Amino acid sequence: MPPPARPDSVIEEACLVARTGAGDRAAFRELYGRYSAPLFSLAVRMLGDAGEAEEAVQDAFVKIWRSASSFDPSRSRPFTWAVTLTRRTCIDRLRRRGRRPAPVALPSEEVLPSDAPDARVLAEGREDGERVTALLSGVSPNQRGALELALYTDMTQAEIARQLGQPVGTVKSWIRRGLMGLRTAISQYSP
Amino acid sequence: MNPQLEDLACLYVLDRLDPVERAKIEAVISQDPALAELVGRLEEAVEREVLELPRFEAPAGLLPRIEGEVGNRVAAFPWGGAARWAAAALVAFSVSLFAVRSLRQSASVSPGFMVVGLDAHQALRSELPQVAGLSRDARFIELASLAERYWQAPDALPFKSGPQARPGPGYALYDPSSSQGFIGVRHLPEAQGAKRYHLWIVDSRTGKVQEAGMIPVGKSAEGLYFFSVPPPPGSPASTLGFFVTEEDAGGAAPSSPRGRIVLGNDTL
Repeated sequence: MPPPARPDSVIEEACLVARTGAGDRAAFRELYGRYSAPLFSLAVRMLGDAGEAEEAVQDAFVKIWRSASSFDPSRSRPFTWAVTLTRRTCIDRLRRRGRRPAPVALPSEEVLPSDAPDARVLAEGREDGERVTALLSGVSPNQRGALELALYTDMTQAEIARQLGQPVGTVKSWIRRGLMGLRTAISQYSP
Repeated sequence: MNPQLEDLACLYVLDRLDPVERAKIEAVISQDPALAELVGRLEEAVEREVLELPRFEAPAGLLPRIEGEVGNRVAAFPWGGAARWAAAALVAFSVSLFAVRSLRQSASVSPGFMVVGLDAHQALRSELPQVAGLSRDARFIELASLAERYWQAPDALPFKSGPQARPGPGYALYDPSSSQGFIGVRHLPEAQGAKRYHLWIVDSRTGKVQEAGMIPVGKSAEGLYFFSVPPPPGSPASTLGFFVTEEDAGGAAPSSPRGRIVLGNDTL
């Protein structure tokens, strides 16, 4: 099976990273223009402090500049790579300061029953731009909560399990099902 | 796909594997297209999550501070001399791996590329079919893709030279519109003592030349390298060629070739 074709934006961004790796400042600025807002938003979400988020994003872009020449586009998408660098930077800061932002508030309900509204049903009647958001809400609250802890904090899976009062295996399953649910939602509505 | 593999894929995308586990699953991904596709989709899902966070613009003044910080480190990544080639070669390989997978379906060759076969005493030149409408980035990625394709499969070069019509020991692939190119060399002996190999671009009609850089051929006697050099002033793309000379090391880059030609020729 051939690998899926990648959208033009991903190819463009891979080129920008390659050119950045070759020392091209214009490409680096273009990359900054595309990524700075989402990466700063991610850092604010993880650190809960705009000033520290700014420092983290600065560190992350320095890492992007320094490691662009070793970026391997066959292993990850360019934006995923930038997100990973930013997350690692934020996690280092969280660990250095020895505290964590307020954990994600989880609903008290158990996992949604299997007859919960199908994601496709949730999306019906909405404008295209709202569909994915609606679909994402089709992931159960517990799955979403576990996924957010995995994505936006430095907690290990065991710590997440303790936080949620669940066995590690359950938490692993929630994270997997949550992520797979998001993937399915996006696959269904990607052009 | 079994849940254990899905678990691993999720943990990989969430960057929750240690380096050994990462290396293991990356090896599996490289051999398993279905897993590679799953990882791609999961990465897309994580990206979407990040993009849907409440949006904050990065503070004004952040970019100049970043550029100020990386500016102090440029010296560690010199874009000149041999390092220019080596660094760009890494870029070329990584980009081309991606390009081969992504662009081959949509375009065979970008417009206006030229490829010059570099034999011991002659150069053979060929222009490649044109595909219009590619952006600058897409052209570069296509150029890198093609360079690597020829590197991996020299028989794909659009000409044959040398004994038994085998591909010669080198080729240069060049995009005149961006002044960027790649040179692949094989079986070039390591330069002796105070000698270095230099690549030149030449207008075969007027004889004007321009130095394109030094080829850092080491003990491996082969390599695929990136270069960037504008054509000699006033030279049309149709008359351009390349050749390699052996020059004395040390001092500034030569402004004209003085040493013997070891690959190609200054006429076509």
